[in-house]
Amino acid sequence: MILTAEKLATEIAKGTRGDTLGISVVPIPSLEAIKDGGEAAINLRLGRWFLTMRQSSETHIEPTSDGNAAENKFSKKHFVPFGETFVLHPGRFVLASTLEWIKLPTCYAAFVVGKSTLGRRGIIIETAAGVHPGFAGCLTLEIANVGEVPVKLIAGMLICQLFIHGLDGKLTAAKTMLSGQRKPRLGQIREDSILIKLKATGKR
Amino acid sequence: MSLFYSSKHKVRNIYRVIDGLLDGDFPLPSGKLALKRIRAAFTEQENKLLRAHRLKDQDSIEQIASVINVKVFQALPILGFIVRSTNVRNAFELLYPLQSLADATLQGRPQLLLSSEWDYVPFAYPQSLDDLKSFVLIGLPASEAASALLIPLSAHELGHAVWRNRGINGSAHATLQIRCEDLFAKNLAEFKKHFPDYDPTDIVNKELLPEATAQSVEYAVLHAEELFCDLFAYSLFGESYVRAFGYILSPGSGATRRPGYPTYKTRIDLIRQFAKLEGVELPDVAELSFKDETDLGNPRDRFIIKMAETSVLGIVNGLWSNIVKLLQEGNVVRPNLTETLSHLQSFKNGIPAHDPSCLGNIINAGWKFCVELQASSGNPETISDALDQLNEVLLKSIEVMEYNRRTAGK
Repeated sequence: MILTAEKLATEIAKGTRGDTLGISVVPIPSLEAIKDGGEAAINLRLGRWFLTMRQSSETHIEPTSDGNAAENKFSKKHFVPFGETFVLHPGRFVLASTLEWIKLPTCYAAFVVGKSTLGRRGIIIETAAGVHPGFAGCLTLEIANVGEVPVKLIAGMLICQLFIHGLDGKLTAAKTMLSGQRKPRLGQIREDSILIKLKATGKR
Repeated sequence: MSLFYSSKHKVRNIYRVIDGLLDGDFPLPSGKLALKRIRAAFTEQENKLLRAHRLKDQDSIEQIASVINVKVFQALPILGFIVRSTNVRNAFELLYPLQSLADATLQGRPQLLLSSEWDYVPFAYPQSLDDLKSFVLIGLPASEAASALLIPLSAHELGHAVWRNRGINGSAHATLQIRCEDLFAKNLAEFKKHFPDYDPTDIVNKELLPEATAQSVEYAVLHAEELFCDLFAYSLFGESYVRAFGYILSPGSGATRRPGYPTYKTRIDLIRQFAKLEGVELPDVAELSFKDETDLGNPRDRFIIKMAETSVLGIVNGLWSNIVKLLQEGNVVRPNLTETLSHLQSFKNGIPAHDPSCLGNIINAGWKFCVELQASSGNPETISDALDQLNEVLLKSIEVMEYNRRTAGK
């Protein structure tokens, strides 16, 4: 079940008090605003670090672990001060982070949805991406402008919503106490054993 | 090429470089402002050069050409510094709190530039750069530019700007001059032992005493400035300053003595002494146990340095009083253990501090956690990874402090 506004406010208050079974959101959103708004989601803001893709001597992205080394060749980091803008042109794509650092206890998972007001202007933000139980860090947002006019993204603006839901059953935390990133990253691609077998047999 | 055209062309090339840099992204307006100031200084010289050319005044052209050469010589390293200040290897989250500290402790409207340097020493450009009078330029080693735990070292560098900006250097110099002269007079026998040629009746050799005294005063002022900066950084960051100090300088070579600097041992001992007065017992750890370097160097130099050190010890209480007054006047919040421990608990839970009031508390909590992590019995790689993760949490906590202050309208 998706958490209601009232339940969200209660769980965030628990997390803020240091209860590891609560939901941590830092900076803390206004709990009154969550309750008063009545929405079953937390509004999150756009952070200040961006990652763009750039042209380089590499010919393509390799979607296997071999391609991880070339990550820096394909990407460029940007920092935008609060209130300043990053202009996303039509057809362009950028990775960003939420301003908020989130930590979910192992009894909750979540999914991210872009603000519909931005979606209607051509800005697509993270298509219902799942956030696993125990996640910690700033959420990486995949933002694309599929519209026809450039759009200003302002560091600190409301950018997406986080819906949180409970789990049917219990998980144990797989991660260490310290994890999470404050900047957007391409992340490491890991090949699974099935793909390795398929690639090997495909050559015969 | 004639002197007029070579000078004109040098200015034109500097414009090209500056204008190219102005097109870049800047994390704070101070970088762009600095570039515009430097450009304006060259425009002023260019106008003078053109006027002299119109008047066919060759003497003036030579004079202005010489000034332009000096300005180009001075500007290029600063332009490099400004370029490096925009590199994403820097932790830009640190700019706001450090600018706030500069605003609170310096007079005028200081502009802070924080950059990463290709030298393994934190340093500050003097605030007296002709064309950038209100700017404070602080550089951290490039390899450590994103390390939040080392940010207390920037406070030491900021201390150098405070030392000049608040006129402490002038009053310290006058006091140290008197104290050194007095010490040399009281220790004349020892002086004569090290300078047997000294003869007050000989027109040449009588100068040995004032020369040695002047050298001692020069060292004393330099030592006093370093100790002031140490105490200033300690006052803002507490224990984390000595931890950062140990990280960057330990174990020290112990092989040479730089006469313009107090020994590492003296510096740590002095901070420990003032911490104790405030009821804080600094950790007695290996990385702060520097070798005593006072026996290094020749006996004459050692004597001159000893006089400098002794004279400085007489003014350290005054330096500390100055710092305490400065921070009170600037309403600077000093670190406290209660908030530090609260942040520490947040970090242990894997979340940033949500209500930090002071940069020092964040960094102190970070160092406490760092010490705990090192003491744990994990795989060294896992612990190193955890320290990297801790840095992320620290930098996010610092950003949260900025966000809270900005949204509270402070």
